[in-house]
Amino acid sequence: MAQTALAEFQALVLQDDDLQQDLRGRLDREDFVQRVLERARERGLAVGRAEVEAALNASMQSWLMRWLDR
Amino acid sequence: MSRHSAAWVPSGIRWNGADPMVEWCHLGDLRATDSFFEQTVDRAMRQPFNLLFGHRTPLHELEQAQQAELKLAGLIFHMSRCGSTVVSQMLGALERNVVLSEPAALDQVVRLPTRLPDMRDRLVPLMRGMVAALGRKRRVERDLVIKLDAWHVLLLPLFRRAFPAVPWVFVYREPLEVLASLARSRPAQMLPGWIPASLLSPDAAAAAADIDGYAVQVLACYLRAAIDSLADGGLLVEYRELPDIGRIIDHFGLRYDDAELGAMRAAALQDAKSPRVRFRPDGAAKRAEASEEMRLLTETHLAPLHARLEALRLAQRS
Repeated sequence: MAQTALAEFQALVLQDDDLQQDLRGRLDREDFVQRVLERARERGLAVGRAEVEAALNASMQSWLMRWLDR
Repeated sequence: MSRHSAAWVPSGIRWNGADPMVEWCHLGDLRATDSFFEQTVDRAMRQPFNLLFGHRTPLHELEQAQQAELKLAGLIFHMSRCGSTVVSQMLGALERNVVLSEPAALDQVVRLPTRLPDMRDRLVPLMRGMVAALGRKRRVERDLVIKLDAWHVLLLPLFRRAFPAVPWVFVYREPLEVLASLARSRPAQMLPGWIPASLLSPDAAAAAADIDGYAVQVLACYLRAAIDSLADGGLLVEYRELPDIGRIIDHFGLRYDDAELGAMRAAALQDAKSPRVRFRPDGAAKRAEASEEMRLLTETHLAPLHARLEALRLAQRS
């Protein structure tokens, strides 16, 4: 199955300390999403805002429900 | 790989079907100064970066990393509600120490056999791997101390196999005060069925229908477990000794200058579980609120074990 642009960007970030540091500093969610979209675009990856928002929401839900999975 | 930079730590084990996966969280500049490591991880996990780039790797990969970058200086076992968090908060006051209080990821490793019985034989390398992953050097830290979950004292021989050269302490308190505290808010470990029955006595199973009676039997198992393993690298610490942790520091082979000792003493002035609140002794209040049944249960089942621990502790001091 082909990787989504977001998955591709996520893998790329995990390989790049400087990019991690750049994105980690964005604690405000809107600011963070904006920066993710910019940095992905700079790398030729067409990541959509809705895709990022959905991933953030799913991840937060998964974290809050972690006790059910432990 | 970048994801293995030292600020990535395991937040816990998650499951991909039947496969255990380590979930990684980037701590950034956060130090583990909260009363419990889970609180620090929770703060980090809520940051957008971790929500989008937190990731999972197969648990078995941990078996390849066996040596923590920081020196694992000591393990803190305890009977719960007994001052062990004061000890961890004091040691954690120094930037040279990483003190992890009840890290969920390590607890999940030792609980793996309840879900995957075949894991029993792999626990030692997995425990070492998890501690290595938690004990990475990020800045100026030198020593790692782990305060374990209370029920882990029942697994002391397993922890000794995993970390045979690492000294450990067992912190305990007058049992009626502990029991009264547990009645105020009962942790999951004190609910029947949470701790595998194979680690408890038949008396605990028999008391499962009585919540206080069960707690008494679990505490009795904790105290007996500490007594049974004491000769194997253990030091006993009673609540009333705190906040003097000099014996613990010596036992762990740590050395601090006056400024560092002062910083640790200052940390002890705050309530260990509510750092904005100044610590107040509460032993008398806890004894006063204990029910008659609690007193009887304590007198019958726990007081003799507490007395035995006290005799052993005094022998260690002399």
